[in-house]
Amino acid sequence: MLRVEGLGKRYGRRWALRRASFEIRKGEAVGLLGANGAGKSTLIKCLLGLLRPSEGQVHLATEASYLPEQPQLPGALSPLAMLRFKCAARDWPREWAESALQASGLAQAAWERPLRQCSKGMQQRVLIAWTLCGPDSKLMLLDEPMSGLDALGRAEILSLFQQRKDSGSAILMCSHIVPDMVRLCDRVLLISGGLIREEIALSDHSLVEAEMLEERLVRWQ
Amino acid sequence: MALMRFTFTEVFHHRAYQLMMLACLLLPWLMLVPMSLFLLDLGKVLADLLFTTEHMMLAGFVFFMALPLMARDIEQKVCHLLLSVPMSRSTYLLSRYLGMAAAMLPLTGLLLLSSAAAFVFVAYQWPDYTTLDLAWGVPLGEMLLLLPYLALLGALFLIVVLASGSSESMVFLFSVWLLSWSVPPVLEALMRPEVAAKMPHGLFVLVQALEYMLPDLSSARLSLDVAHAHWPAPEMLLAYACEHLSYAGIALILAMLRFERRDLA
Repeated sequence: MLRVEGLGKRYGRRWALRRASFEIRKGEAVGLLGANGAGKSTLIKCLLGLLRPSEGQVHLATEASYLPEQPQLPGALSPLAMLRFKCAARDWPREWAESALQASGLAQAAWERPLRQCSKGMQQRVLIAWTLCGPDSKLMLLDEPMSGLDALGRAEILSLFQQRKDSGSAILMCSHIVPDMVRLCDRVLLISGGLIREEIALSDHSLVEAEMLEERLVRWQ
Repeated sequence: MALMRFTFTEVFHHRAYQLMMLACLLLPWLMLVPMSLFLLDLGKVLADLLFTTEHMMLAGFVFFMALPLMARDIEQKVCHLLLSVPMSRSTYLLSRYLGMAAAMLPLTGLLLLSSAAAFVFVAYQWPDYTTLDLAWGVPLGEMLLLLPYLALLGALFLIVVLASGSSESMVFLFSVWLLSWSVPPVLEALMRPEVAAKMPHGLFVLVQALEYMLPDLSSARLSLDVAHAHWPAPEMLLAYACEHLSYAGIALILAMLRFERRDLA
């Protein structure tokens, strides 16, 4: 679904990302793990074309949806209006907006409430609905998707992403919450100083693996 | 088109915009109070006040609604979401522009309707003191005053994609607005035969070129003419419309070119 070859981004003389190469196949979830400023968001933005790569190539063979890290949503609009806009822009059925909101777990009472009146957690669910809205099989690029959610909400959303993954979607997720990443992802790319240092396959999705990842992360800092 | 509708809906649901619409309905009637102080010619004074109100409303819209919305889009990553739909950056800018331009129409329309009603009331109450031909003067004048603000909106888009944040955008937009109000009248004064005669030829050519190039966003002369029922020639009106629409178009095209190359970090 996604192939990245030698991707890099330079700001002046400083490389924020360098020689990133990896592949994500259908039904696969890949985690991007790194400290602040390691180059995770830069990588995702290069994939989407929000940042112009300084080197390398991106081959995207499917629909991609993006969940940015904490954007400010249009406060005057309702969640339903936002999702309906996405459906209208793509000529998708309007009902997909309702389905995505339903799937995100946002209470129906909040669907038509102005976003400025929604809590941070509710807004995060709207963003998740925004990402889910669309065809089942696609690539989802998630930048800190669990931000602002409580433990229960995180578990719900993780199982939702797991369902999407099982139905053929591919996921690239960057997060600071290592246990969440371990639960969902099949592989983790450890990124530090703009370079992908290690690619670690996860097998049993256990807390032991989470601890091992944290140790590796510390080692690369 | 979807983003244009989305933009219009977003603006329309904004509390400040709804207050502006209410103000457009009420202000023409409230202006009857200061207007009653000028009993010599109620129509002209009313037209002057209405044009001033329209300037205030549209400038308020551009500075306090359009600018924060666009700056927020870029600073707070709303455009990341919208672009990920996906859509091209040019489509994004054009749709946002058209949506905001469309949002100016209800303000102008409401002001027009309310002022027409106020004027009919004035003409009915004090027919001897009312001379302005309302049928075409005020409505057309109001529509013409919209054009400079379409150009200013275009300038706003260019500034927002070049600037690093909302404060910088506000400063530059204010500068453009101020210069476009103040410089053209000065240049026009310099072009008068008695002044031009004392000017070196090279300087005169430069002033003349600047006068042709710089947009006069104030529309002060036009407002004054219309308010006094002196109609500019049709070719002047056409030139006026073309000038402002061209500035809007040029600014928007430059904004698109810049935005296509800009990193959205």
